[in-house]
Amino acid sequence: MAMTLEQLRILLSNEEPDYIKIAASLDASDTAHIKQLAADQDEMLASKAVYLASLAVDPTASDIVIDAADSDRKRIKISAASANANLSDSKKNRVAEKLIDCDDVSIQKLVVRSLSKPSAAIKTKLRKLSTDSSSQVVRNLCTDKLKTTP
Amino acid sequence: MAITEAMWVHGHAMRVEYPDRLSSTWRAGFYVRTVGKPNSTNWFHFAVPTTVIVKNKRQMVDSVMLRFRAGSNHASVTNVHVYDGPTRIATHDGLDISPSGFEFHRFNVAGKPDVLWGIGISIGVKFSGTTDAQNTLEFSSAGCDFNLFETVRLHFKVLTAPDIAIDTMLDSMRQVYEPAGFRVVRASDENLNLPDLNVVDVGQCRRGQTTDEQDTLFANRNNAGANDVVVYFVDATSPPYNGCAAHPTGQPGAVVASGATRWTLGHEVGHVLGLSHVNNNDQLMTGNGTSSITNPPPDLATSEITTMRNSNLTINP
Ligand SMILES: [Zn+2]
Repeated sequence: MAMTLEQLRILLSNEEPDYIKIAASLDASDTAHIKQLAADQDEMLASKAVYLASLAVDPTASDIVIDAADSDRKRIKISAASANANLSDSKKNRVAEKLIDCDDVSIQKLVVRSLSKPSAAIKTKLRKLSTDSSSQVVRNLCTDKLKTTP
Repeated sequence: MAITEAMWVHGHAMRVEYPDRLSSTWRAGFYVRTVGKPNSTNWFHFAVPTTVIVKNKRQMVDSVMLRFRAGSNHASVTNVHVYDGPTRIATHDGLDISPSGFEFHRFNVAGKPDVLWGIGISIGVKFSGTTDAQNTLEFSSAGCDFNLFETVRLHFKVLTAPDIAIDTMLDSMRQVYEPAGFRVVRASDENLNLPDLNVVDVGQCRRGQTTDEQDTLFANRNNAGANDVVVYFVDATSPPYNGCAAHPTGQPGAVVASGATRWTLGHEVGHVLGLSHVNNNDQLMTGNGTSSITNPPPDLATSEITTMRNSNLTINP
């Protein structure tokens, strides 16, 4: 059921939005509003909209996440990395390619964790990070991911 | 909130810090009259006799009060500082109060600290007139109210400092909690260098459910007693929330994200104390986001106050 922009804004302004419940009430006609909120000046709201996009049934909504990975706002990037876990395998790799080289342990942690079928290019990055990352957590995640993914 | 103790001192007990900056001081039965020299500032001090313990309970400082008048708007009170012994416990600066008739003014002491050594009220004053009549201030009384609040003790663990200063968040929280009878004690501060947890996985943020990362983060409880609430200031949560109050059993606490509002801290601690969302933007626990609050400071409902009082994390005075 289509929501007004204001309705969606209020649902996402919740301190702790219930993403699954909100996503279940969305249809393709809501995607434009999610996109608009994902570009909002309020970074907290924008980052929530990016995450919601990853759960929307409309397949084009995932482009909002892919675009967010290019954002120059760190919180939006973090949200894209977090949201990546909900995307399809091919889209996961696209987001991962944009974010895995960023110099931020928390983003790398989320990206590596989100991967299910890493591409050859991503696997090369994982191998490098598994030895070179400054974070023990990221090194371990990369090692585990290489062992457990096809 | 009933006042448990109120202490006043007569105006003519006032001490002047810089007597040479006054043209005259006249102590009479009614009040003390001071006439400042043109373009002078000064500090006037009242020592308030202080019963620090009443019926075996150490009192908490609620607010201080002054009753005074000015000869013109060229004589004014510009600062009110409250001391407990050597420690300044409240600072009200940037004032410009010059009532033409005797007026009662109250100045809040945020944090409602235990009183230890005796209350001093230091009043900054300014005289900018040209005549004695213009540069006259008369104080008839100064006093202090004491109270007993239920106490919530907070420990702040900072991984990333939030956009809105922690001081502002705490001050905002107190604006909501104190009128409801709860004082918020900032028991300790610690910086945590945990880059791996700076974006912390909080899952769906459901009460009683925690992720491995929450379990690891909430294990950091240096200085905190079993019933103290620990607040972790992180860069962000995954997925993105303003904060999340889900915590491991026996480790009460919450995370607050760097993009949180000034009310998020009070909101998350509200969850920790047992409160749920309401659909009312006049209230702290609104489920429409504290960024939507319409009447700052937001309210706590009577039923919410009861829930908070019943929490074992609020300590009876
Ligand atoms: Zn909430």
